[in-house]
Amino acid sequence: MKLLQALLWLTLPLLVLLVQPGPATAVEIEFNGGPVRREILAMYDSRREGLPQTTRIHQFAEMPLNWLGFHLTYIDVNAPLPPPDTLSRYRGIVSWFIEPINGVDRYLVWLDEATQLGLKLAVFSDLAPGASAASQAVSARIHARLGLVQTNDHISVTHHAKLTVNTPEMIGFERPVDKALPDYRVLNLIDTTTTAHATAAVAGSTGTKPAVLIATGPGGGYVSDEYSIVFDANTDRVRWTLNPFLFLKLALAKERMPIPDVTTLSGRRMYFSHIDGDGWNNVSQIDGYRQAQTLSADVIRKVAIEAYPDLPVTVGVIAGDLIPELGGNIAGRDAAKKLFALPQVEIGSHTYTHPFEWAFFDTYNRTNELALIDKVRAPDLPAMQRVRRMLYTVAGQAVPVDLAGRYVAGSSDLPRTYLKDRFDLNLEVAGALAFSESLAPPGKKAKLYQWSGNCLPFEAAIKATRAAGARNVNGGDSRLDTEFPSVFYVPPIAKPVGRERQIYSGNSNENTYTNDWTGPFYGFSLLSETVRNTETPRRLKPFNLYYHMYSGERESSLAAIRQNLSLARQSPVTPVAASHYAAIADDFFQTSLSQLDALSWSVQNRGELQTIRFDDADNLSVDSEKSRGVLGYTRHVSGAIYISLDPAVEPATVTLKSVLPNSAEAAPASVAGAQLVSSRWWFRGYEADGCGFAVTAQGFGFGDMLWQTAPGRKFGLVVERDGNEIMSQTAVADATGVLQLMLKLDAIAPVRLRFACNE
Amino acid sequence: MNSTQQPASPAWASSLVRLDAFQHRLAARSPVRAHIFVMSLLFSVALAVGYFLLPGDAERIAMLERDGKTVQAKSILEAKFAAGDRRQRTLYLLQGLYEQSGDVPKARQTLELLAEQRPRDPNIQQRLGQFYKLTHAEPAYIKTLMAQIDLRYSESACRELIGLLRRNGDFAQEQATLLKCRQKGYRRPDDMIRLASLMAVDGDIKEASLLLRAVDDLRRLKSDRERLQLFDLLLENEQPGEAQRRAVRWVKGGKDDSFALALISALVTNNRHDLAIELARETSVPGDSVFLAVAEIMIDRDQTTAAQSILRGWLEKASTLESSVAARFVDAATACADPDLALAGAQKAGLNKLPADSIERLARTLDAAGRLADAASLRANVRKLTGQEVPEAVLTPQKGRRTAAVVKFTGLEPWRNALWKRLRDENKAATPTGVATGRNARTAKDLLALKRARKAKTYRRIIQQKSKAANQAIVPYDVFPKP
Repeated sequence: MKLLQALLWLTLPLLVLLVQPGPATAVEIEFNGGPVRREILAMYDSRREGLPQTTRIHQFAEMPLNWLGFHLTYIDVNAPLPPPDTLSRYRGIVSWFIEPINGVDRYLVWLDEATQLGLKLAVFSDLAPGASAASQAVSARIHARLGLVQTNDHISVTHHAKLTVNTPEMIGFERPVDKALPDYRVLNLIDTTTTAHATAAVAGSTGTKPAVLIATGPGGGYVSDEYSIVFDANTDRVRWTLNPFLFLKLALAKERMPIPDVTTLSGRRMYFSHIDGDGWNNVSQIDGYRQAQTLSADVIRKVAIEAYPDLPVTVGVIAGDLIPELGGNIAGRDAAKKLFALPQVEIGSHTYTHPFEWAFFDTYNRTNELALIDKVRAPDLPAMQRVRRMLYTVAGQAVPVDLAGRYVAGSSDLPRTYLKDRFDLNLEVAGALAFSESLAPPGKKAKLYQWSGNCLPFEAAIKATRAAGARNVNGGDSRLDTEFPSVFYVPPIAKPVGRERQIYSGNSNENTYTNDWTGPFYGFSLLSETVRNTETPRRLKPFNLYYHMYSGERESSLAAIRQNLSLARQSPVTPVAASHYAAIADDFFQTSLSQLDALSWSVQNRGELQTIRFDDADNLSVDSEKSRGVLGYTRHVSGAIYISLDPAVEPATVTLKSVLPNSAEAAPASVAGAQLVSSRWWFRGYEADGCGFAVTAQGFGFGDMLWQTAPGRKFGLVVERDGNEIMSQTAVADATGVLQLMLKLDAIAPVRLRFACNE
Repeated sequence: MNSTQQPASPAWASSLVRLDAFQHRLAARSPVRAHIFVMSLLFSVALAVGYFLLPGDAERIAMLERDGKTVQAKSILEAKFAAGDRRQRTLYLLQGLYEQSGDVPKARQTLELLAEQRPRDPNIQQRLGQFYKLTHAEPAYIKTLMAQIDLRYSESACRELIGLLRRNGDFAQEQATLLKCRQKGYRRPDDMIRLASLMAVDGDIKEASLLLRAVDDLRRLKSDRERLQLFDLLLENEQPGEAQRRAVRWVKGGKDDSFALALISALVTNNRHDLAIELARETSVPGDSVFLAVAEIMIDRDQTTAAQSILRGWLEKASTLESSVAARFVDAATACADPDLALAGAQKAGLNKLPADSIERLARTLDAAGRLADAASLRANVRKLTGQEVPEAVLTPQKGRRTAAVVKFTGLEPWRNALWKRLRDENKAATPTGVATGRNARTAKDLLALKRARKAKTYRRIIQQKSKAANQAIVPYDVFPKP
């Protein structure tokens, strides 16, 4: 039997080689060579749309573009446009104009030049509203590059109009095209290399070509505005009619390319959790805790953190909450110390004085702030109130917020919570991080700054977090569920703020699920819906459990947290600290790719980002012989493969090969070491040693991992930490070469796994 | 009262005497003292009264809830439920406690049981619907909304249901619900307009136009597109007079030349030139942009002499000529083969206001009339203005110049050959990349500008709504523990 098996393994690769078609054609990979251009120019009109983060492109198109591996550079058409000699680094241009733009002729001339240089162009809505006669020819040339010619017709009353081409993959993504077609401008197809995905024509009208509503071609793509999204006023919700992923892919990236991925690590979806300190000192109302006057932070610690040592969490405390001089309560410090001492807890900061309105501090003026305080707060408490406050203090009881004084804001009626001292950006960022660290065991650093209030920090504030050596996170409020039924509600990875970048959180927090904390308080249990919908059909976001300390106040909110933690525990995830995710998200923008040959790419400057994805990869596999710094790969239900890279190898080289779809992927008996399929831990420093290997691992919870190696291969596994053996066992791969392990030990501090093999 | 007279013994005194006698007899018969008996009796009564005064389950539950002892309250209710208590009050309280403890499946089960028991109670049905909505049970929510509407008409339920069905793309069900709600009294204008659109697609032109008319009668047909649709439906439904009557009102109310021209063009499309002229006359005065259409329609119908006369009168009345209107005038006069009139118009407007192709067209007419010097002077002006010759293509209708841009009605072939043949240059400005100096540009430009403004407003609303969640991360919280 073994002989037969061996024979089969020897002949299988041969058979595969015989059967498989030529690699380049089989996997539709074009070889362009050189750097893979990932940067897209996003054109917007600041007069109409304000800042980049409020543009249609940021709100609608950037997330799909990020998912496709691109990042955007926002260009205001009112500002100087990039000189032509700098355009070679960009892949393409995206625009979404509706209202007439100033200097439109200048813009069109630039666009003409840019598209002539080979930049692809994806047009949502109009090319350049308000263009003048002088630009007619220019405009025609640009349209022609998209394979289209613009007529002057606009079908406004459409009850006799019908869709003549309707590609289901492209249109009807989240909602079918309306039965009563929206009005449309008439553009005709003039190029056979351009594909019209949706066209419409008026029934009974003869001699006119159908109007192109959606088209993609070698020059880019066009979508008629009314056919991209639908807004329903009754429900106040948006849905995509267009498939933005497919449209942007066909318009900008038809050729296959590796996609830096921020959702996955070690072949599994990432999980991270972070808590904002709001409500730290609130006494829990939960039966049992209420009687003991337990703080919400302590409830969260006991119920949601200590009980889940396998799930990391970053806790961001508001410094002011714990500083009596500012109006805080020193009693909360004990809770912070206990929390920060837990090994699975990462130290974060949720600011110093808890700004609500960040923009106020961009152009800060203490006089204005004091004027606001005077307007909102009484000069000082009346005598009776002061007596009450004194009595509370003397009795050793907590002072209610209405007695806390004029320099403490209970809500967003003032620009920040703790107003006693003037705003100091250095104290707000670096000071807050240092304060958090002061409550932690020695040597444990604060690594994450969690934006507060409206989560709209200004450029200098973000810069200050970097200067303080911390990552930043929050904002975005990602939802994809019944209440927010569109990928429109899933934000991109980050938001550009000047030259800085604010990293969005992976999911929204309990506040949006509980109607601004007015109830129902069980609402956050519905997070699972978004978690599920952002995993399939596309893995759009990691699993992020993000909440506030005030969730410890109520039984139902706490139950929702527990439910989400259970979901995380049951899910095949790779738990990481929130700052780890923020670092990966940051590094998405700096990762550079170069195509080495038709099937090979170099991945450089990737920092913490260690996963590369290829979509539609049923007939692709990793050629481990030719790859360098590749730990292994795993397949997703979407047909994508997620390739895990070794952080110790820079640059990594990823080489693909063709395989038959659904063919067995067991490595041949002769293969060295093993390939990582998926793991709860993450790895670095892979070293093959004959048929065995060694690798350094780190992670939270038990070491649940899956490797692909030769069938039946037997390893003697030794686990070491700091050179000392802490565990050893035998591990044997099954008949398909799958080696499944569950190492029941803690790897928050890295361990070295040595798989010895004696073949 | 006589003081010597002894008062009669009251009845109670005699009773006491009898009791005393009874006590004596009792004492004589048994060792138990009478007062002990009385005290025991009183104690028993007090005990019984005390027992009955003890708080009932409902009060206990209320007290426990008040004290935050929800676990105890829930266990009492659960015990009652297990014992077969299915009273509304029990289920109501139990459901609330399940919600409070975050046990959503049990809360749902209990509420469904309650709704099952009281299927005709609108409050419970509404509460159930709200619960489904909050727990994202959309199919059940839709079903409940339907049941709610069947039970008792509610505008909010109709609006919500219609919106959900529309959002989900279930157009057949949406249309059916719109009809049902309308029968029950739902009259929200936006949804009635929507129903009309759906009916028009089904070919029910008559009903669709009736619906839009009803909305318009309430002055709630606001957007140009909706008005154009009604106008078009009325024409299709052979009600041109009605269409015209409304059109006059809209145009007079709106003072929007571009919209008036669009309506006139629709009439021309439908071969109702007389009505078109009438509409133009009614909604304009000689010398304005709309009135010029009268002459243009006449030229279209080969009534050039009458057109010439109108153009002369028009020019006399016109105070200032906008670029686009001037171009239209020059073109119309040129089409009437009246170079003098065209030249007069061009001079009144100022040659610098005219697009190059209009000037060239006029120059050719002058050439044809043998006025070569005038033609050469005009051409020199073209070169001066544009720095180049007028491309031939601009002058040739067949080469992509003459299609209308503003509002194209369905079945436009006749229209294409009618009015817009005269208003041809408008298209240039109407297109996003249009010609700035395009004649009649306002028509297209304004309509598109309106559409763009509305669209942009919608986008702003969407984006604001999306970022609302982020802004609402501001939650009041206590700095200090609550006492």
